[in-house]
Amino acid sequence: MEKSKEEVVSKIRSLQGGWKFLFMDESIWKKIGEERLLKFANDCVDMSYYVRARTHQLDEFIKESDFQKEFLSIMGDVYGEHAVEILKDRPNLTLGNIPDVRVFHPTIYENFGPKFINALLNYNYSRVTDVVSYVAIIDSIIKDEKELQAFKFCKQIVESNAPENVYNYTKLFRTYSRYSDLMKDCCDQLRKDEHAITQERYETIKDIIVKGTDLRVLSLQEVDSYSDVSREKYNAQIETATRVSEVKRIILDRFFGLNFTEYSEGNFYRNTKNAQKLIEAYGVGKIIKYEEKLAKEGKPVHLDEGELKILKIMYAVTMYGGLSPSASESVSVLKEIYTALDTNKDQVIRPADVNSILAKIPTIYAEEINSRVTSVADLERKLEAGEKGISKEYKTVVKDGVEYKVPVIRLTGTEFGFYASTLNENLSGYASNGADFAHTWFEYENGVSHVSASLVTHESRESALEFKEKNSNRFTVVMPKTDDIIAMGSDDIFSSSDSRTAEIYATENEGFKFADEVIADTGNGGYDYNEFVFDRYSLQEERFANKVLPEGVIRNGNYVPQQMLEEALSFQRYLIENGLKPEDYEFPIFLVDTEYYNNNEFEQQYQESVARAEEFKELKVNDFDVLDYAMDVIIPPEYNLSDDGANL
Amino acid sequence: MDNKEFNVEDYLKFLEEQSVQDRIKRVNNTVKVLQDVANNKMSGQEKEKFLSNLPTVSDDANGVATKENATPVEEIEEENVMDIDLQ
Repeated sequence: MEKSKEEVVSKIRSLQGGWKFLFMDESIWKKIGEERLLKFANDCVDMSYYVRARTHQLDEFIKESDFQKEFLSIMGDVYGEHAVEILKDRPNLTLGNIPDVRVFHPTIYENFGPKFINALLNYNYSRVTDVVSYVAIIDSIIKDEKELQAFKFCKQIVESNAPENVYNYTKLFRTYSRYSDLMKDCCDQLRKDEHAITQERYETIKDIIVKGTDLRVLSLQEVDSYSDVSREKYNAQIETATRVSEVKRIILDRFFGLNFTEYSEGNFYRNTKNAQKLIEAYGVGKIIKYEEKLAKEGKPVHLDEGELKILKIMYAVTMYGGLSPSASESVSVLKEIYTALDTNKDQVIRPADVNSILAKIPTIYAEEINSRVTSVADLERKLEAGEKGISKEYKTVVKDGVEYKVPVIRLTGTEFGFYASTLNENLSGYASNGADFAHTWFEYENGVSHVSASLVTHESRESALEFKEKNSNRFTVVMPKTDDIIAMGSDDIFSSSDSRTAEIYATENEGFKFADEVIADTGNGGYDYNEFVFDRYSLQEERFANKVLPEGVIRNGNYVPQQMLEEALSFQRYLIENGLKPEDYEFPIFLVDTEYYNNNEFEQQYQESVARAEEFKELKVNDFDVLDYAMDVIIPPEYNLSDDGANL
Repeated sequence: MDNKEFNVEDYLKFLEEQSVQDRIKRVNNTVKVLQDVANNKMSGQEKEKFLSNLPTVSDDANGVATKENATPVEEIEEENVMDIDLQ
């Protein structure tokens, strides 16, 4: 029996889900009309069990029913046509997936665009807010112009230090959750005095955002006192510090915005501030040498003079120790370093300086590795240039009485590089329910937020050149180049993530390497493949709700089975259904005829890759046994630890 | 922000540009501070290692090498390219 407005609103208030905000606003009731919205509200309550369900069949039911049509219609009437366009691109988005339906509000659309809204639908940023909740943030910025300005102010400062991407939106929401009062006060003060944010205040605000602080900073006035208060705190800590690791932690925390622990942390994750882990996983010593090598060779560098120096300073301070005769001498010297930096506190390095540099390092590796990857466009250029060892033809497939042409690019000796990824059920669950290949990739909503791929090039070992065929819905697809490599390893790094979370974990994350290092090491550790982890969504991808989609399907051999042709065709048909021309977005089958690659010439190329990798290994930090410098027992280099652990 | 002539976004961009320019001075000062400590308080291998890991201080606080304008190799003096003792 249909509930009255009072009853249904009361019931909805008690339910979980961001969709309920459609019914909490009296202006929406007036806009839509009480009778229409009441019916929809009652349907939502009836469906409330179903909207949280994840199975394919129920999603289909929701899609095909009048319920979904009415939902789209109401969203269009409440928030505007842009809401309908975004939702049409996401036919499998259930109400239960939306943390807050108000993300479709015109204020958010006009100020941040559809990419931002899609990001808020792809990731559940409510998990990262603590002081002020996510729904409170959304509520405030759509209702209050001053809150909106404060949020934009915050966004600009956060993005001055880290690029705008789906991951850094976690920083944005976390920062605004913790510092919204400060942001609002900054904007209020600027309204009164356009010089209210001095250079020093700006630098301090950036440092606070980068480091986070347990000190109360709610206003510009407290920003002014923050430096003195935090300095007192650090000075008190230094007085009582007696261990190398303690003093180092204080220096790195205060001046670099990093932390230092006695032992390097196990997993590397993107948000880490652990200095040892960053040096190890980012290969800071290697990057320094690499940039200097590029400069010596007259090639373009990625880090300017200041940035390179910051890395060297960070490296020097973190690595200090291990050669002194005693731990107490190291402590004494480190305290001298602290005192000297403190004395010159207004003229020395700051946490925001370091943070912005570290954010660049993964992109340096990505650029180098991408230079070895051949996109569809790169292969088309080879074809146009008439290069040998590559050819293209179109295979005809007739489906439902319509003739289609599926492009097949055959590689018979040309150089190539691919990020090859095996589709599996982690993607969405749709694959195991029989959804076709294209629908699985274009329409998943509940798959994990990241995709793993393996770098395979013409130099790869023979065993690494084998691509999985369709087996339990597994085809190997080719993923596009990206700047956003989250983690990598020359073996399986056992990455994991949840649906709608921007963080991933990888228990065997080796850290970043250059392409030749990966190629040379793949196969040495028991796996025939390496692992690169990418975000599944990108703000650079304008179509299909920010999804990063594969560029094609890859196979070994010299012919294409019919099943693979039909699977690849599903991509083409999906594009046609959605109003795109297949020729604008070809989805070829890459046929790597390994007969042409498993020969002496390519074995020689593999060996050359190994040789180049050796050069990089010389650049690598001798990773140092954290024991050397972190603990207060200084071990002479010649001491053989493996024989007698008791000597520690 | 009621003042039509004052644009917060542009002002923040200006502050950020200034911050980047000031950064090289902060960096060079930090290097000098650390070099002083090393020269006066460190000794032996530890001192050598620390000093070799540190960068040099440039005379031109505004000189930056970017991807677009990297200095040709013949203009780089050997003493300005640090070899880090990674061992």
